[in-house]
Amino acid sequence: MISTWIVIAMVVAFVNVARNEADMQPCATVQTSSSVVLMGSPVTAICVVREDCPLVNGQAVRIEWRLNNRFIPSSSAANESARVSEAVISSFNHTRASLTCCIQSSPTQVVAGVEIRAGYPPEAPRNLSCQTNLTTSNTLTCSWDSGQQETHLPTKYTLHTEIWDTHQNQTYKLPPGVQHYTIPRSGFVLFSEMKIYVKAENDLGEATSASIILEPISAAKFDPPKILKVQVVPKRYGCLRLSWSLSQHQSWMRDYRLNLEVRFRTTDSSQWREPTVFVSRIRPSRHVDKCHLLHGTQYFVQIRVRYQQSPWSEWSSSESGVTLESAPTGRLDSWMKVSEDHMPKQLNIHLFWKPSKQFRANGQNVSYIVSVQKVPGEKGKLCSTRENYCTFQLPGRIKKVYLSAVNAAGKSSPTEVRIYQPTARAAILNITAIPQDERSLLVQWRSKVISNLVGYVVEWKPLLKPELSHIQYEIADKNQSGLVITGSFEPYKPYGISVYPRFKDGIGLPQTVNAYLRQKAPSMVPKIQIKKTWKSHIELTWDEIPLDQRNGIIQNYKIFYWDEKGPINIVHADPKERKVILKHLSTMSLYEAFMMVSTAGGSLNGSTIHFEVEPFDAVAGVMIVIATGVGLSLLIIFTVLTCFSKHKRLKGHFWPVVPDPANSSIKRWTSESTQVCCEDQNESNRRDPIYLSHLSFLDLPVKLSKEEDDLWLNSAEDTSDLGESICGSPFIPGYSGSHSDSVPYATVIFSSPCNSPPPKEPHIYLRSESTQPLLETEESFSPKCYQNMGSDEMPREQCFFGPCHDCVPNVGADPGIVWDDFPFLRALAMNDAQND
Amino acid sequence: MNVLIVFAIPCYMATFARSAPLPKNGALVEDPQFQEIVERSRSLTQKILLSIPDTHKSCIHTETLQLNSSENGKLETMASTIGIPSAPVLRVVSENSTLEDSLTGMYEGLQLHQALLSAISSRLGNKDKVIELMADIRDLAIQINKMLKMAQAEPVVQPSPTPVALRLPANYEVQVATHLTLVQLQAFGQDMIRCLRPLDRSNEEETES
Repeated sequence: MISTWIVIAMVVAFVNVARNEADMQPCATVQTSSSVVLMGSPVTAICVVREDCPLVNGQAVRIEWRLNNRFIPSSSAANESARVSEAVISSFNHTRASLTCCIQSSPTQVVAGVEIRAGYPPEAPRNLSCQTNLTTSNTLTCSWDSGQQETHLPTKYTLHTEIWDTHQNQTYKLPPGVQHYTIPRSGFVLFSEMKIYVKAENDLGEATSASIILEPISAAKFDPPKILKVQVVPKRYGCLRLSWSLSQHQSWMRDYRLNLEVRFRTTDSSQWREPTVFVSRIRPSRHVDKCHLLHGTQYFVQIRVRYQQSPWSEWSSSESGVTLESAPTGRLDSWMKVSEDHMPKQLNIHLFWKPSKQFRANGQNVSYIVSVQKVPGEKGKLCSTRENYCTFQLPGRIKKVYLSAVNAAGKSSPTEVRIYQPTARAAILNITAIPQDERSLLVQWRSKVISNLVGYVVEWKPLLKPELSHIQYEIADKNQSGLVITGSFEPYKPYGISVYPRFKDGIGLPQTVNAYLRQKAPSMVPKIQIKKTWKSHIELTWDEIPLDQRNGIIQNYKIFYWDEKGPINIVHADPKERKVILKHLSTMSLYEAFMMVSTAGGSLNGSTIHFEVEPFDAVAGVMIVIATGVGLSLLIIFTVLTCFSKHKRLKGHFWPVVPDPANSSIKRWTSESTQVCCEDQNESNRRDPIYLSHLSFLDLPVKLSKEEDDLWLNSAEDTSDLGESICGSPFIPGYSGSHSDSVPYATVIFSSPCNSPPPKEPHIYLRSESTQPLLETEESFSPKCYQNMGSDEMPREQCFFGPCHDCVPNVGADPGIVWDDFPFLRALAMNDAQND
Repeated sequence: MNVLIVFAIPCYMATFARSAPLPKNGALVEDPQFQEIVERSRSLTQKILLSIPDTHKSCIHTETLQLNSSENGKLETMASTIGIPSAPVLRVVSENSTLEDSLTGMYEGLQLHQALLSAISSRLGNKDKVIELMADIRDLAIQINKMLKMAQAEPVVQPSPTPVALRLPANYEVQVATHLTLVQLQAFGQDMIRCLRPLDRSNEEETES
């Protein structure tokens, strides 16, 4: 019984297993034309759903297609049931996509699928090339280009070699993406030709590169060879013998014939001479002789090597050798500057020379001899130098010198140099020099049309190197108006360029210009110094920039200045003056300023300085003090002078003296000297005064007016007129046309001449109708004096003429002298008497 | 040691036979193509000789095994024990020895040494230099074979290198075998230089331009 149950159980289990296996069958299958297709080509797929698929269950199913989850149209196969579907993708444009077959249910079930890839067949590899490495390990490395187009498919590259001598074909598999391969030494035979090509393969096809056939040794780039020795060839001028070898790694080819190229360069040339010398099929064990070189010249030599048509090696390192020396040949070009010496009939001569195109020094150590004799000797030798110039003095009668080059092997034939007297003629009008390129300057000039002008000499020198050896020159024809001068011009360094006119009989006056090959900003800015300050002005000065730090031609100096609030002001300064005046500055403001110096190549700013404009500076203070002092001094002087010259008028103005007719006395007046008068006056002082009762000046004004004009002009000695006589008279300002308006005041009756003996008896004074104007303004004083007339004692305040101690009459002592004290009155009296 | 003596005698003779006439193959030797091959052969032989010291240094670590040592004569028994065959005897081309015989000897000797190195290289740790040396020997053998073909009246297929069975139970034997092979190859190469030199008709004049 138990066994029966076991058997039953086993049968059931078997049935279940068999059923499960049926259930594990795929529900559908998809078949495509190809899983890898050309990009853009059509793809057809058929999906067949099994009848026993659980999703079917005997019912009709609806099949749909999806490409990467995107629905695509499909159609049912005509002769099949609804369980077969066909999908057609007209253009498959995915590099990789999943095409799935689905049955619509809830939800839709994917029952089968297939991955389809699309791409392109590989392009044939191009530019296949190989190079052999002959160094430590010998290898052959090939490289190629796999093509521009991306295949989008896994592509396999293989390198194929075929060596005919060994009947050996080899294929090297290459890692993906690598476009080069190194064939090991065992993979090639150095001296056997081999065929090499590269093949590319993918699912859509294969392509093979163009094959190359090469002998590996021909594809070797040798190491730079070595020059062992460069030496002269005995008894052969212009020849050098070259011993050389291959590098250590290629030394095994020492007996093999190789192609060699040799190039030469002289020591004073930076360029290798072209063409290079080609030597074919030479063994490294053999030396090479190169001839047709310059004599006595040091050459630098380089070589390179190759096997047949293989790539050239790099150039070897340089080695030098000197060819055999011979005597110099060819002529020297010369340029002579002549100036007259202070000694009579002596000329100072600067002679410069340089090799002509035909000149050959033919030696290493060349010196030059300048001589007055054609055959150089100790006699007549002016110079013997290794330089390219010579300075000497010569008598004016010598018209030519001879220049020869000398080396250890001999002397050149002498070059004749004519000596021209200096001439002061000028022909060059202006000259300019501008950079032409990195090594040269273009010099241009204009000149006058002069009949015997034969050409020009362009001379240039570095201004920072004053030695004569740095002077260079070039000769130009008279038709030229410009020249490109090339030499070792350094940028940012000044050069002086002069153009001399050459006449038939001498060299004229030059025109000179300074030039730079290239300019940049100056290296320094001079320090600004405040020279003086006044009012709202300030003068700034600065030193010149040293020549070696200018780096160009100074175009301008700019001063930037500003105060705390104001805008930045800019002032340009003349480069030649190196000073500037800042105007309209505010006082009591702190200013800042800096200077910018500019050349054509750039500008540089200097350090900032601070300054302040004082309201009263020292100069202004001194000026004010001086002006005040001068003004005060002038005022004082004027016042003093005025006081001296006008003291009487002033005195009269401030302390007026009014004559008192009552206290006046007429004295005899003569035309004698003052001394006499004074003596008389002294005498009259002893007399009693004669009082006038009537005084008339009717005829006097005309005469006095004339005298008044000359009053300040006449000298003291001139005493012949009335002016002198009226010395000390108080009436001078009062004489004017207004006399006619005078009121008759008194009439003086005079009975005896002046020089008659004075009467012993006192004179009698009477009131008269006088026109005397004295009392016109001081009328109030007159009555007082007049009223005192006749009194015996005259009060002191009644003195009118002169100081009182002089004028006080001593009436009681001598009344007769009183006339002398009144000369006018006396004159009037005399005039009256004559009229009578 | 006898091997070395055997090498030395013909080459010593070769120095005197340098300018000897080539009775039968005189015209062939003058052929530029033949001369080109001679030149290549001389260069390759030189290359082998120059690379032997480096190869020896790279794979021989036993201090007592020196390339140019008088002690090398003491290893004759070891050479027999290991089973290193002697190189063929080279004869300089003369009235008694034809060009073909000389070239055949060269070719066989090269094949022998290539087989020896091939047998040893599988036992060497650092065998890069040995492989390069084998390639050089192969290249030289190709050139010699070319000359041999030119010299032979009827084309004869040259045998490929016959594998050599060496008894190399331990590393010492490998070292000795490598050392003796290189020493023997060096002597053989020098003999080849001496034998090839008379075949070189290249112009020895100085070049001038």
